[in-house]
Amino acid sequence: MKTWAPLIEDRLTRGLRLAIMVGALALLFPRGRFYALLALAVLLLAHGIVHWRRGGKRYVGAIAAVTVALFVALVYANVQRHKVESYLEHHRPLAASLAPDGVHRGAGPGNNGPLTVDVKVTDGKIERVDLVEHRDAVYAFDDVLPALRGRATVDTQFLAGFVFRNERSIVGLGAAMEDALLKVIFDAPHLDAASRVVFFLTSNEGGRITINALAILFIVLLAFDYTFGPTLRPGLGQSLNCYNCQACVGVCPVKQVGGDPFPMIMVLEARLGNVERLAELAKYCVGCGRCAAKCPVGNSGPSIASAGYLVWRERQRREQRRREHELRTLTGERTEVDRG
Amino acid sequence: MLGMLTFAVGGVLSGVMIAWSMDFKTARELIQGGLGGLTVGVLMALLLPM
Amino acid sequence: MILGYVTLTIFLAAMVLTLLRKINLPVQTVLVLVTLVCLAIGAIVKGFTEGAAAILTLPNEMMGGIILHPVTALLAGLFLAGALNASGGFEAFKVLIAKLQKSPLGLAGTFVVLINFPMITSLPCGRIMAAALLPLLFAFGSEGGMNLLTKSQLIVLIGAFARNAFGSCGPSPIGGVGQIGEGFLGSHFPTAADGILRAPQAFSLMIGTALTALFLKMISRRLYPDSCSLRDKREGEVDAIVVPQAPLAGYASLVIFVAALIVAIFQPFGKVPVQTVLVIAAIAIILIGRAGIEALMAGIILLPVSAMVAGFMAAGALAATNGFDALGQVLGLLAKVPVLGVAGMLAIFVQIQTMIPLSCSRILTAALVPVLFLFGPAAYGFLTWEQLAVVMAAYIINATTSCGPSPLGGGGMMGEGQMRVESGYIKGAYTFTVMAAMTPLAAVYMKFLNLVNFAAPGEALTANIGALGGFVVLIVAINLLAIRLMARLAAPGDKPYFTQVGGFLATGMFAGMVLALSTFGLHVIPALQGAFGGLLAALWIAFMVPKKLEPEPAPF
Ligand code: SF4
Ligand code: SF4
Repeated sequence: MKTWAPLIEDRLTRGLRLAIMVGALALLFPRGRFYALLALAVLLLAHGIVHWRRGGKRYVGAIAAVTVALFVALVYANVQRHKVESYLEHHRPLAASLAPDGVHRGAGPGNNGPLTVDVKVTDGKIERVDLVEHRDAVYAFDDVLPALRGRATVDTQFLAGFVFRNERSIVGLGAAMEDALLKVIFDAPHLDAASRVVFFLTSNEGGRITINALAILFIVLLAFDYTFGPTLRPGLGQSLNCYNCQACVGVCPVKQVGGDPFPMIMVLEARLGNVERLAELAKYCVGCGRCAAKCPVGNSGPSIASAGYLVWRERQRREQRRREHELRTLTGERTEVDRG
Repeated sequence: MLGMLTFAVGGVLSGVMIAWSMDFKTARELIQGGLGGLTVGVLMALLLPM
Repeated sequence: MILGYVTLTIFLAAMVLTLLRKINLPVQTVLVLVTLVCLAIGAIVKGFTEGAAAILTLPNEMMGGIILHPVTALLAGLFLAGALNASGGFEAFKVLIAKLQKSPLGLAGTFVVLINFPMITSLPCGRIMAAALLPLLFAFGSEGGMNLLTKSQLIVLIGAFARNAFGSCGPSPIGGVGQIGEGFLGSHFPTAADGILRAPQAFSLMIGTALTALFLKMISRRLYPDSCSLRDKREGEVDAIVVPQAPLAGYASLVIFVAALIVAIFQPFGKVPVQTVLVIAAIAIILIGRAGIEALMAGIILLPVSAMVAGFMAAGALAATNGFDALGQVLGLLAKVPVLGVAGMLAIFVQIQTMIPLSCSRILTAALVPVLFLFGPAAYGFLTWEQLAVVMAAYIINATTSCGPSPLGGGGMMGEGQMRVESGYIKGAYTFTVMAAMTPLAAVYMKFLNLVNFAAPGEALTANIGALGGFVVLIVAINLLAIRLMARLAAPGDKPYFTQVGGFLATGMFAGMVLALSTFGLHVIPALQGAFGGLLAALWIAFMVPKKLEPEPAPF
C-alpha cells in the first residue's frame, strides 16, 4: 500500500485541522474574531497539556501566556468601556456645547454593520449630521437626519421617537453621535488604542449573539472535521456512508465485541480514525462477508478491517522508526536522517 | 392540565396494551403495566409545552 | 412550467426507484445527483428562455433551500448524546432500569417505561438510544443470558422499543424532525417554535407503540413463523442476572442532560437557541466525564444530517426550477377529482412518507413540508392556518416514523437485527399502526387540544376533551378490532396475506375519514373523500408489506 496517505493524517492531526479552521474563521467572522482567537488559544493549550509528555511542554508556556494576555486584554477593554459608559450615564443627554466647534467623526453599530457619521458642531449646537458610511437601508435615516439639525444635545429619548423605522439603526446612530462628541470632549474618559483594537476584534458584541454564533460555529467545525477526516485515511473513506442501521450486525455471526455492535463499530471507529481499536476489532471478523451483502451502502467488514489494520501497521512502523532515531540521537550516533 | 390528563389516560391505556402483548397476563402484571404507562404519560406531559 | 413537471418527475422517480433498489446508491447520493440534474436541466431551459442571467440565480436558490437551524440543532443534539454516551450516562440509565424492576412497577411496568424511554428522552435521532439500549434488551432473553423473557416476549419488546425510538426523533425539541414543520407554522402561530407539534406526536407515538406491540404479537409472529432465529430457554440453563453499574460521572452527566433538556424546552433564562444550550451541556459533560473531543464526534450519526441537507438541497433545486409549482398543480388537479377532493388528496399526502419509506425521514420532510405549507393561506388557500396545523401534525408523525419500516438502512433494521429476524418482519406492524392509528391520532390531538395552547393572539379556541376522548377510543377500538380480525385468519401463505391487506384497507379508509373530520369538521362529503383517499394510500402501503420472508443467501 502507498504510504503517503497515513502520512497526511499524521501531519495534519485533528488538533491542527481544528486550529487551522478556527484560525480561518477568526479572520472571516467579524463579530467573534477575538473569541475565536481565544478559543484557538485555549484549544492549543489543552492540546499541549494533553500531549505534555510528547513534547507539549515546549509551547505550553507560550500559549498559556498568550491566552492569559488575550483574556486580560478583554477584561481591560471592558473596564475602559465601562468607564466611558458611566460617564455617559451621568451626562445624558450629551450636550453639544461640551465639544469644541468643528466636524467630528464617530462610529456605532448599525443594523447590518458598523455605521460612521460626521457631526458638525457650531456655537454649541449640532449644525448637521452626515452619514459617512453605513450598511443599513437609507430610508432608515431619511427623516431623522434633518430633524437633528439645530439641536443642542444628542438626545436618545428624542431619537427613540424614530425607532418605528428600525430600532438598531437609530440606536446605532445615537451611539455614533455620542462617540463623535465624546472623542473631543476634553475631560471625558477615552478608549485607548489597546481597547479599540479589542473592540475592533469583537465589534462590540461580547454578548449572547457572539456566544450563540460561536456555539453554532463550533458545531459546524467539528462536524466538518468529522466528515473530512475519513477521506485522509486510505481505504476507510467508505465508512463515511454508514447509516448506523446495524443491518450488518443482524447477519454477522459475531454480533458483539465488548458490548459494541459488531461490525458496525468497526466502521464507526474507522470514521473516527481510531485505527488502534480497529486493528484490535479486526481480529474478531471471520471474513464470511455476510455484512457486505446486507449493508445498504456497501460497507464491508473484512475490507474495513484490513484497510484499518494496514493503516495501523504503517503507523506502528513509523513510530518504531522515530523511536530508534531518537535513541540514536541520544546516544550520539549519526543516523541515516542526519546523513541526508 | 387537560393535556396532562390526556397523556395520563393514554399512558395507562398503552401500558396495559403493551403488558398484555408481552404475555404478562395476570391482573397484577397488567396493573403494573398500567402504572408504568401512567409514569410514562405523566413524565412526558411534564416535558411538553402545554 | 413544463420544466417544473420534468424536474418533479425526475425527483419522484429517483426516490421510488431507490426504494425499489433499482438505483443502488445511498439515498443522499441519489438526491445530490437529482439536484445536479435538475439544476442542469433548469439552466439549459432558463438559458434559452430567459437568457444567461437567469442561470446564475439557480445555485443561489438551491443553497437558499438549506435551512440551517434544524441541521445545527440536530448536530448539537447528537453531540450531547455522544458526550452522554462517553461519560457513562447510558450506563446510569441501565442502573435506573434495574432499580425500577424492584419498584412497585415490577417487571411489566418497567418494560412499559423502557419501551417508551426513547420518546421521553426525545433525542434527535432514534438510532442513538437504540444503539445504546438494544443490546440491553437483547440480554433479557435466553441468548443474551438473563433468561427473563421468552422468544416471543423479546420480539415484542424489541419491536415496540424500536417503534418508539424511530418515532422519537419527531417530537424531539433538540433537533427533531418536527422542528422543520414548526418553523413553517411559526409564520402564523407566534409560539409554534416552542413545540406546537410535539404533544400530538408524543401522544400518538405512545398509543401507536402499544398497538405495534399488539400487532407484532398477534399477526407478525403468525405470518412469519420461521423467520426468527432466537431461541427459548433450554432445559437446565441457569439464569445470569447482570447487575449493571455506572460511574459517578454517568449520573452527573445524566443530570446535566436532563437540565439541558429542560432549559432547551422551557427557556427559563430568556430566549437562547437550543444549539447553545446543548453545546454548553455537552462540553460540561465532557469535562466531568474526562472524555475527549473525540467523544463528541463519536456521537454524530451522519445519516440524518446528510439526509436533511440533501433533502433541503433537492427542495431548493425543485423550487428553483418550479418543481413545487408543478406539484402544487398536480395536487390541485387531484383535489378537483370529485371522489377525492381536497380531503382525499390530503389523506394521501399525509401518508406519503410511509408509502415511500426512506432511510431517514428528513429527506422527504425537508422537501415536502414546504409544499404542505403552500396548501395553507400562504399560497393556494386550500386550508386555514388551524387546518394546516392539523394536517401538519398528521403529516409529521407519519414522516418521522417512516425510517422504521424502511428497507434502505432505516432504523427498523436495527430492531430486526437484534430480534434475529429477516428484513421486512416489522414492516407490517410499523406501517399499519402509523397509517391506521398514529396519523389520525396526531390530527385529533392537534385539533381538539393542542391548537388551543398555541392559538394566535385574537383567536379564541376551546379545548374539546370529550371529542378527543371519543376519537381516541374510536381509533384504538377500530384498530384493535382490525388486528383481532386479521389475527384470526393469520397463518403463513397467500390467503392470510390478503386478509391482512383487507385489514389495511379498512383501517386506512377510517384513518382518512378521521383526518378529514378533524380538518374540515362534521361534513359528509369531505369525510367520504378522505376515506377514499385513505383507501388509495392504504392500498399502496398494504401491498408493500412482504408476503413471505426469504432468508437472503450468504454470498459465499
Ligand atoms: S465478514 Fe466479518 S464482520 Fe462481516 S458478517 Fe462476517 S464475521 Fe461479521
Ligand atoms: S449495514 Fe452498513 S450502513 Fe448499516 S450499520 Fe452496517 S456498515 Fe453501517
